[in-house]
Amino acid sequence: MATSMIPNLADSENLQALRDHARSLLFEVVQSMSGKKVLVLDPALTGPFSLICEWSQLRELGVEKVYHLSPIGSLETPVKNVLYIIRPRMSLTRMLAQQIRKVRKEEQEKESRDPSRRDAVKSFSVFFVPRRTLICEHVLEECGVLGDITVGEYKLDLIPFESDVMSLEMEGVYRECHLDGDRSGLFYVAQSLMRLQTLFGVIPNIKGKGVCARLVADNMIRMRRELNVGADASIPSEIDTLVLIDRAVDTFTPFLTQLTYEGLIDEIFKIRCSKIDLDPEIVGKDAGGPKVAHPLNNNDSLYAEIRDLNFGVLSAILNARAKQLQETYDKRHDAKTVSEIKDFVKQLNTLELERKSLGIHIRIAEKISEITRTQAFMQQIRTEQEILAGGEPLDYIEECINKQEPLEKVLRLLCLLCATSGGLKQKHFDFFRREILQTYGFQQIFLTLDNLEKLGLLRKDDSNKSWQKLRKAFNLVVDDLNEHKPEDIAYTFSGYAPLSVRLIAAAAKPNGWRALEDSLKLLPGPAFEETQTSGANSGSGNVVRKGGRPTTLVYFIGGVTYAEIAAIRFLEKHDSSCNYLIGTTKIITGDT
Amino acid sequence: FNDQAAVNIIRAYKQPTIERAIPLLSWAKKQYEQNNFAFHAKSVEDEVKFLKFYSELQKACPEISVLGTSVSELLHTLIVNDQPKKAKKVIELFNVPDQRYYWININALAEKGDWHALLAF
Repeated sequence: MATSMIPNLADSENLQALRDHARSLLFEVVQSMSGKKVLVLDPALTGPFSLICEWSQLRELGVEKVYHLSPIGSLETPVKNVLYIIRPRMSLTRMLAQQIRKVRKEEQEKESRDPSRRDAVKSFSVFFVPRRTLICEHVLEECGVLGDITVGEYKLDLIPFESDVMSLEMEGVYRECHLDGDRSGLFYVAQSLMRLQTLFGVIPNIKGKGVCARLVADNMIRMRRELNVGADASIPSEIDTLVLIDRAVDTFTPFLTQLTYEGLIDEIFKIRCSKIDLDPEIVGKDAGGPKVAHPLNNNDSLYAEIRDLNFGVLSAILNARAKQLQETYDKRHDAKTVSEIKDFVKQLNTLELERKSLGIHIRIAEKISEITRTQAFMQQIRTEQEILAGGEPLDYIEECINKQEPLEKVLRLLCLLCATSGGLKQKHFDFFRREILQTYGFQQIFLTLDNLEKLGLLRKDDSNKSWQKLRKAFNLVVDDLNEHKPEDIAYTFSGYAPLSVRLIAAAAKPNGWRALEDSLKLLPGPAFEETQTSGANSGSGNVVRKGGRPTTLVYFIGGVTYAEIAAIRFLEKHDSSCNYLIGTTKIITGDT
Repeated sequence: FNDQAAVNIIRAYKQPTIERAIPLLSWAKKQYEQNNFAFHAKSVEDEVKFLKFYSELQKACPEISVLGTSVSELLHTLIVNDQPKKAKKVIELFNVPDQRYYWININALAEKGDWHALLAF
């Protein structure tokens, strides 16, 4: 397919610079080994890499083949140089150390048999993303391979997904911060913000809500103090305000089913780094073949238009588009003069692309509506809305367990219920936990339940009844919504406005958060506002305004859903006074 | 302390045999009890009971292979394999509520294709 996996960032030079930087760092890493080499990648990194560069570019740098690091496969390759690039996780490090040891052992055996083969010894490099940690080096040392290999780091941070979205693509930051007490994720977030400030200039206003947001802001301000403050003053500030949102502040939204087109694709097909794996017949190839990776980004102009729409209105639009396309095709019969025909032929290429993409989206939409039309799905949505309205549909949840429906669905509903009702009654709490354990198996689920309880996502009644107040204060549930001509961000969940995005919208107004002080107190963690001045030319008078509006960078610490991104884009288009840029640690759904 | 118990549970499932996993689970149970986590302790106890029952079943009728390891799935398999007595035992042991039993029974009988039993039920 002609469309590239790499998103087109033409309208944002800075993000392009960000990507170019990431790419050149990657090339440096690859070139640190001379000659031909193979790459062994952490599977979690292939997605991000594919957004940075094309594989053909790596091939030009002498990469013969790319492997995934996996627990079973031993490394068998005739190539002498082996380059590992992984996240600093202990399990991965141990895996690769074992691979190296095995190779070394075989080499020694061969050498003792045939001393002349000395120069066939392989050389290994290990690069950690985004930094090497003591613990991983210790693992390497323990396995006795540390002295034998080159260790480095590849400082990859934010990866642009779209001209307004970028992500660190780190999994489990929420879990690490709130459950394991591992705050290194926050450090990476702060670092990535520093990096952005070197490109966009100092961000004069920082607002945030939640414990992690506070920590990130502190970290960031400290880092700037440690650097020479005056050094970055030469760049005019392009971002006016940074809003940090800790995922723990809004735990309602992720548990709801997203109802935008892109959100539903993610719920059903799982989008990974702007790509989904589709059955071959959807992209118009023969059935039965392997799944095809299909890029989903704004390079596809049709997708750019429909990705953020509520799924309910999609079919009408796709229909209209198909008709329109047909009409354009039909025009060829009217073409009489040579120049008219010429014009038509010129269009043909784009038309062909459009037709292809329309076909794919129609087939994806069909697949989705097969699911959304089922009883089970509709009842799930109804139940979610009942919970939001303050109901407690315990019977339905029990029925789901009894029918052995997917565990994630049950847990999402239960967590949502806990969040809105302030927890389950002791009796129900024990009952549901027991039912879940017996139905889905103790081994699989016991510790998960325990973790959810520790996070406060699943809990017994603790008389924290803030939901009703929150709902009112932020107008979270919007009735009489027109999905065809949405006037409110609540269209993304057909009637529920994501709390996180309401916070963001409020932050854009002057005095926005101060007016909501009482309501903000109902949410966990501190709310704060800070200002930074940029050395020489202080004050926010120098902020560069894009199209007359200041830009706000919204950073979700612990992940964001596609529906929230859609809601923020909606804000930008409709009622807000600024442009938005979105940063996140990962794009998530309620299942993750 | 709770984390200690959790570690023991994780270790228990890394053991190759059920016999070796049980002492670790019992230990976890004691730790939960000491910390007044009644529900956790009870769950672990149930799990030990379940594993014991399961290993006895494996000895008694090795032809029944149980995929997965939950009470409901075990019950399902027992009904499919015409073991109503054993199924009854499971229900008593683990206090399976009627509603869930009905669902399991219906699904299992349907899978077996035992329409007469389904009608009678």
